[in-house]
Amino acid sequence: MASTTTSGAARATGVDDLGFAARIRERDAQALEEVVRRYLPQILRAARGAGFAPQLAEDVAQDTFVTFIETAHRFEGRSHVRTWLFGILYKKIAAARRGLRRDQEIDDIDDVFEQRFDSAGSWTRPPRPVDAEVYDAEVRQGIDGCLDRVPTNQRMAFVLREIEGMDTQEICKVLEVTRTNLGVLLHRVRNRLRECLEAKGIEP
Amino acid sequence: MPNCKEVARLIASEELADAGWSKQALVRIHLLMCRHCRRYAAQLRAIGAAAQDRWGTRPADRQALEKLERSILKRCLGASDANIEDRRGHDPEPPATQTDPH
Repeated sequence: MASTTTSGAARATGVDDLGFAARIRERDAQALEEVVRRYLPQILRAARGAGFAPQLAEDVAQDTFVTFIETAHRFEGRSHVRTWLFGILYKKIAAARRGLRRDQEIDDIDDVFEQRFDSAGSWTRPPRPVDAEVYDAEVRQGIDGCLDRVPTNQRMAFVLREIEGMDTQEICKVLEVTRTNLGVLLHRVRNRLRECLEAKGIEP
Repeated sequence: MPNCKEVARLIASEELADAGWSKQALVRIHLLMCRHCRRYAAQLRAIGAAAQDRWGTRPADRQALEKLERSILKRCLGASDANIEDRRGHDPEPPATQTDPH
């Protein structure tokens, strides 16, 4: 949705213009208002997706825009306003969750994934056949609790990709990771969710 | 020919798009032949769709959104320096000149 239309729409209203970047840097009230109006719903939605209750999501969204405006003089217009904003949001979320789990070292989901395959790389416990409609409905029911246990960086990668529909390149900029790292994050979060749903008996 | 584990990894990490043309073709052939991997891919899609469904809608409460908008603009543009210093932000630099919103 937003992701596919943003660049075109943004250009139409000047959000991508160099002139706009200059106005942001100068704390032009109208330009800042435009940013808040345009991106608040997305930022709020992502904060909710990251697991914040409605009131806390509002607080973290508010904090994000305040930091955005406080640091507006450093905005060089090189990245998209949205990328810059989501980068701030991510840091706020990570700070609120005490400590970024940026490390790519050991994650037990990797073992769980490995154990799904034999030495030839074939499934030992393949995904069982499911009725698509039933599965979809059950996943909707079960996903809340499953996301709760996901580390912040994995969860944000998932939220930006699946909920905001951002492309992988922009997500890398927001999370400040390489494409390979992002692949690891997405792989882990998706398998973690799949395993969690299966443990709940959602895969019949 | 890639095995199931490789295919699953490429799907979950979305690295398939970055893989070469021939690798992409081989993965497609594997998927045609392997119902397990097809199911795996379908499950990941269902999980993404469920998340989109659960959190993807914009906040319905237009009034609350406008209230928050006003509160942010007030705090950002009309805030006194004291308020800003009081914040627990990470930016060590004091803000540049304040813009009068009027």
